[in-house]
Formats: sequence, C-alpha cells, structure tokens
Amino acid sequence: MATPEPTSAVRVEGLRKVFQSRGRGGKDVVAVDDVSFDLAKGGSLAVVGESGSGKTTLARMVLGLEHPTSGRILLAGTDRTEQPRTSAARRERAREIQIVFQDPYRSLDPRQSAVRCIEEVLRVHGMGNADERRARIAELMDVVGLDDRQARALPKALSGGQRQRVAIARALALKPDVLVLDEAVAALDVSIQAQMLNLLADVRRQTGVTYLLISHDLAVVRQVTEDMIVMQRGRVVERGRSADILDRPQDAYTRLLRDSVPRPGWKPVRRSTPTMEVTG
Amino acid sequence: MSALVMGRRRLAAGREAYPRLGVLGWTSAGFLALIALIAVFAPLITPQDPLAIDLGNAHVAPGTDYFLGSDANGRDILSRLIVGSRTSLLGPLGVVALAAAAGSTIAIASAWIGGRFDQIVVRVVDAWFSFPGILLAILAVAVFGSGLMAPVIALAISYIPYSARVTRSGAIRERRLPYVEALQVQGFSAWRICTRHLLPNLAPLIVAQATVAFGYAMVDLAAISFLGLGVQPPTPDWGLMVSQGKNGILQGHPQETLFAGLAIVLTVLAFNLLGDRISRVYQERS
Amino acid sequence: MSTLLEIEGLSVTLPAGGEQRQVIHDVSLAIGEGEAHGLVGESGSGKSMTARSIMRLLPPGAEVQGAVRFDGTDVNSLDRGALRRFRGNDVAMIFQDPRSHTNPVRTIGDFMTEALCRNRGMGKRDALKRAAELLEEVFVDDPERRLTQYPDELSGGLLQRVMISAALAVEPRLIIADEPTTALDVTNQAEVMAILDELRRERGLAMLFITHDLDLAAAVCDHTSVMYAGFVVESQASERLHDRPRHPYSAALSHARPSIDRTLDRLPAVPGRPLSAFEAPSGCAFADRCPFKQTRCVEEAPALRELDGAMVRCHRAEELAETLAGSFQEDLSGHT
Repeated sequence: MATPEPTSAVRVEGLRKVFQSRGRGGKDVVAVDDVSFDLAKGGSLAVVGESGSGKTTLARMVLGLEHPTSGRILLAGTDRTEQPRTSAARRERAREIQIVFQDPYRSLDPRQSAVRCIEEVLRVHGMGNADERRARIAELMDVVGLDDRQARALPKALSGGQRQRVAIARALALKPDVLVLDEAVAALDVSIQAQMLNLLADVRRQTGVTYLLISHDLAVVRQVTEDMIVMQRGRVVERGRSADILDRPQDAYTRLLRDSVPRPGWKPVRRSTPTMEVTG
Repeated sequence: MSALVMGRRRLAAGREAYPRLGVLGWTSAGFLALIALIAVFAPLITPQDPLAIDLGNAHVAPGTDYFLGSDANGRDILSRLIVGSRTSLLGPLGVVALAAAAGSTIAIASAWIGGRFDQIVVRVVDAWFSFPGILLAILAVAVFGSGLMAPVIALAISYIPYSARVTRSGAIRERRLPYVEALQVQGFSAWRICTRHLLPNLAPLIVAQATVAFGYAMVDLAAISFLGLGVQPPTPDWGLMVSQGKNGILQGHPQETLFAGLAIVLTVLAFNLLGDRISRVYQERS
Repeated sequence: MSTLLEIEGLSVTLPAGGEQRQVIHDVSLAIGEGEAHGLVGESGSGKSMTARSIMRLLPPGAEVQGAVRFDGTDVNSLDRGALRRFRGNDVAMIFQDPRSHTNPVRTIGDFMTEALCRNRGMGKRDALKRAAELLEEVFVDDPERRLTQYPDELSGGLLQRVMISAALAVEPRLIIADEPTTALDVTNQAEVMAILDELRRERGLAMLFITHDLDLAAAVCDHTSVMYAGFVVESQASERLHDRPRHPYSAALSHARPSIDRTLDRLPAVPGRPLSAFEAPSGCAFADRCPFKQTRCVEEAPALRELDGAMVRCHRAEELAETLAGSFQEDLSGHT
C-alpha cells in the first residue's frame, strides 16, 4: 500500500459503485467505475460530466453519504472508505469535508436563520463558548458578505444568491480542509453567479480551502479550478490541467462537450447519428 | 392543446405562494377556540346546575327558563352541553395526542432508517388499518371496565396507522431534501436531525392530520357513549346526551338529542375544515 | 419581410397580496415572418410573462394594457373560438420541462396524434403514420416503437424533441420556445437547438426564443431583446449585441459569464440582485446596480428609443457606446 503524500487532501483509488437493480429483470447500474484521483491540499479539482456520468455519486462517496462497492477514499491521508459509524467519527469527518449544494432553495432548513443554523453546527461540535461562537458567526457572515439583518432572516426572506451565501458560510463554519461544490452556482442568475464565483475565489485565497467542484459547466470549471477530470458513463475519459484540456481537448467526448457550449460565433450543430442517448 | 391548459394551471398555482387559512379556516379556528374556552370555564358559566334533577320540569321546550330546554329529568340542556364539552373534547384530545405521538415516531424512524425496516413498517401499518377501532374499544371496556380511559387508549391504538402513514410520506419527502444531507455531512446524529429538524418541519402535517382525526375520534367516542360503554351517567357528555335524548324524540321532545347532536356535528365540521386548510398551507409551502 | 407578431406598449399587472403588481412595463417588440427573436433576461425580468401574454395565458385577475397583434389582428379581441384556433393552429409553444407537459399514463403516440386528430380532423391510423414521419424529421430513430412508449421511458433530450415535433405537427407560423433546453445537458442542448433551428429555417417559421443565456440566444436568433425588471432595455441584431451592447445591463450580462476560452482573475460582476418588475423604482430600473449611474438615472425613467439601428432604454446610451463596447478589451487584458 503506497503511503500518500502528506499534502494530499482527497485521494481516491479505484473507486467503484454499483447500484443493484430492484427486482424484475433490471440490470445493475455501474455508476462509478474505477475512478482514481489525487487532489492536493489547497488545490482545486473539477469533476466534469453530464447527467448519468457518475460525478454526483462520486462526490457522495467522498462525503460519506454513499458507500463504495470497492476502492479506497483517503482524506488528508486517513482512510475514510467506510461510512462513519460513531458520532465522534461523524464529527471528525465533518471537520475534514463539507458541501455546498446546487439548490439554494432546499439546502437550508426553512426554520433556521443563518445565525441559528451555524450556531447549532458550532455547538454540536463543541466549538468555543457562546461569545466565541458569536464572534465566529460574525466573521463568517463577513466572509460571505451578509449583513446582520440577512444573517437573522429565515431562508424564505432571502434571495437565491443570499441563500447560497448562507450555505457557503455554514460549510466553512468548521474550517474544513475540503469543500465539495456540487453544481453550487448552476441554479443562480448570471449576475449572481458571477458574484458567487468571485466569492469562491476570495474564500479560497483567505482560507486556503481545497475545492472539489462537481459541474457540467465548462466555463465555471475554467474559472474555479486548476485541474479537471472528465467523466462519461462512470469512467474517467480525460484528465489534466483545466486550461489545457479546455484549450486542447484530446478525448472525443471532451471535444463534443466543449463544442456544445454556446459562445460568441457559435452555431448549434446536429450530430450525424440521430440518437446518442441512453434511453430506458 | 392540453399542454397550454396545464401551463396555465401551474402558473396560477405558483402565484398563490403563501395562502393563509382563509375565511372558512379562520371561522373554524375561532369556533373551536370558543368551544375550548367554554370547556375550560364550564363551571363558571353554566346558567343552572347541570346535575340538578327537577322532574316537575321535564321536557320543557327551549325558552326563557331553559334556553335550550330541559331533558327527561328536568335538567338544563344548555348547562349539560357546557359541562359536557369537557369530556367530549378531552376524550378525542387524548386519542389524537397518543396516536400522533406514536404514529409520527414510527413514521420518522421508518423514513430515516429506510430499506427493509421501512418495508416491514409499511406492511405492518397496512395490516393495522384493518383493526376495527370501535370493536377494539368495546373489547377494552369489557376487560377494563367502562369510563373514558379504556376507549381512549383503544381508539388511539386504532388511529396510529392513519397518523403513521401520512407522516411517513411527508418524512420521506423531507428526508430527501439537500438540507438534511447537509446536516448529515455536518456530523449531526440521526437523533438530532430527526428531533430538531425533521419533526419541527413535519409539525404542520402532523397537526393537520391530528386535527382531522380529532373530528373522527369525537364521533367514535360519541358512538361508544351512545352505546353506554363510555362515560357513565349522570356525567354530562354529548354522545351520552344524544343517546339519552332518544326516548324524548318519540314523545315529541327532540331538543336534547338535537342540540347535543348539533354540538358534535359543528365541532367535527370545524375540525375537518381547519385540518383541510392546514394541510393545504403545508402543501403549498413544500 | 412583413411583420407577423407585433407587441406594442404591453403592460401587465397581476393580483398579489391584495394589490395589482406590475410584471411587464411597456414592452414593445416585433417579429417578422420567418424571423427568430431572442428574449433574454434573468429571473423576474418578465420574459415568460411576455410570452404568456401573447398566448393570452395569464392568470386570472391579470390586467393588460397595450396591443398584441398577430398577422394584423389584435389577440386580445379574439373570441373563444378564434382564440382556440389561434392557439391551436397559428402558434405553438415549447416549454422548459417537457415531462410536466405530458401525461405520464398516455403514450407518445396518443400525445402526438391528439392535436392532429382534433385540429386537422385526421383518422387515428393516418395520424399515427404522420406522427412517425414527424418524429423522423426530428431525428428520432425507430419512431414506430417510440410512439408506443410512455414519457417516462424517454430521456429529457428525446422527450423535448418529441415536444418539438408535436408542436410543429399543426404547422404553426410562430413558435414560442420558453427555455426549451435549460433542463438539458449541454450536448443535448446543442442537438435540440440544432434541430429546432434547422426545422424552423426549412419551414420559414418565426420564433420567439426565451432564455437566460445571451450567447445561446445570439447563436440562434436574428434579433435579441434584453429584459430587466419587466422592461425591454435593449433590442438589436444578435451579432451586434455582443460586440456593441448599447445598454449597461446587456454589457454586464455578457461580461459576467465566465468563458471557456480564458480564465479571469475576477469576473466583472454586477453588485446587487436582479429586481422583479414590481420592485422597479421610478427612475431607471437598473440604476441601483449600474456603474454609470447619474442623478438623472434615478430621477427620470428613460424611454425606449432608437440609436444606430438598435432600440435602447438608457439616458447615457450615446456617451457610453465606446465604453460598453471597449470593456471587452479590458477583460482581455485581465487574461491570466
């Protein structure tokens, strides 16, 4: 067993996930097939793919929300392949890796303001006394740019962009090493998306947090990450520096993805084969 | 073009983002609050002694002496209705409180654990539905003796599957929301997520179901009283009053059965309307 | 090119919380026969409401001012029967989420033949044959089998192609496509857009294409209008919109999107959030977020006026022309 370098934040080796079919003659689905990558501390890696590529399942396994069929997951050099069983193990993992979800409308408890939500997180993890927690919350609100009124408002009184700021603050509360961004800007309006991408860049500069970006949006990938892997039907088809891959994609599927992105001067082109989709 | 019609309907529903309880809902809530107040202050507001027998004034028609008339024993019907509201409300309250507590515990546990456990719970709850509540209550009375306690517990047991089924479907929806996964990733224990986050967010659904069930429980308990198996005379109780007044109907004095029946019908109706409105508000929210 | 659809001074209010709320302010636009017109905006900009006003598909209680003329006839003056013919034969609509616009327990064949049988008076067998031909036109392979399948058995991209072919089956003159590819993967988006574009050109259909994606609109539309807070703030030829935006908001919108061709140190983001139409202040709706704001912008609402063949709603459009076009160069200098 190779000892991973101490600088590795997330390392997965030969990860595989098979979903067993439920009953009558269905086939098992291989969602993730032999995926490996090594994400250095402070780095930023994109997992790119379309729906059904397995990128979300991969992220869920790294987060401990899904158990891999085979393969290994290491967070900061520690084996985290098994889902945590004890509450101590759960909390330990929580301080290593956090997530920001795509849907700003449903990723917050509708009954909790940002302040109450983060206060609970800090309390559960036994972080500081009431004053220290208050100071930490103020600091986090400052990082994500929410004023006092917004910090005390229930999610329904906030816009999509403001909710996503709350979600980012919540994820940063425990000072995790790694932040998984699961399509975290995909549901936002263009002008809000730009604010959020700048915020993510600032956060990374300030905290040195490592990003694992799950996305289908190549422009966002280029803006946020240095490295990327491209997944198609559970397998990695291309990997390398984000800028290099987007400038000179080698794999046919990566090229197709790139050519499908609307940009100035772009015209949609129909592929020769009428159906390239997997249908039920 | 059916697609267009559907588009319009979705749009119309989307605009009404936070509907309130509405006129009917608030009227029902107000009516029930009034009944509850009456029950609390019953001894202070009865115009006459609800237990005082005065055979000389039996079956007096509604009027100035007896606002709603008197019963076969010459007791004031209004006073008996006022005091009777206590047992008539307390019984169903006990039933729905017990059923909702047990039902939602089963439901949330089942939705959270999922898998085979959830499947077994669903089967058991399905089978549970076939328990006839009233028969169970009669059996309980036969074993433990008459009174309020035995039929309330028996009915509560037969009401658990209703609460469990409704709450489980809500809990399964809620559990799939990203905020619950975020809490898991934050390292929160299952107990904390279920009690501090799932339960409060499901509360409107549980309350809506319990409100509707309250009406049914009231009818069931009235039926048990009517059969003489619940609250015993001379304690005033609406169901019992319907039963005791039935001889009067044949003699042309329907007031006791009529007014007691009306009290039950109006209260049940109000509970149903209110429960319906609450569950709509919940659905619009989610 | 004769004008097929003309919207003039359209204002719409909807009842909300006991008052009438403005959702569209004085919108005017024209689409010529066979022309594709893009309507771009963020959430709450009123782009979908504009489309629904054309179809007279507004929620109950909506108050409409201004005119929507289709082929010279005011849509708001149509009686029941004429309105049905207008919706059924002249205009077809394609939506973002095809799954919610199909009935899950009815087959694709049922869905596609319904309009043919009712509006064209075809027999069931002829209609099915025609439906198969139509599916072939949108490059669905094995169309006979597809007709027997249910919506759940088709992927999103395939189902959207079915919707397109069903929409075109009645041979409309105008297609209104409301974010038809937003829910699709990017490769499917390209495919669906290519097919829609091809069929539209072959048949000379006009199209109103509603999207939040400026680049996508520019790629498939001759002309693009940008909406903000219920107003059309700019309208001009698509190819010029990108290089010579006339309104600070359109410029901001195209700059704010990251690019797959270059990495920027910081994106030129607009502060604040998009306003809904009813929140629009009395001055220019964009003033609060605009880097070029002056006192006049806050005090006086600008009118939509012509400037070098473009329509623009900005007091400072002339003086800003060079700045707005030039800020692309600034971006490039920030290239890392």
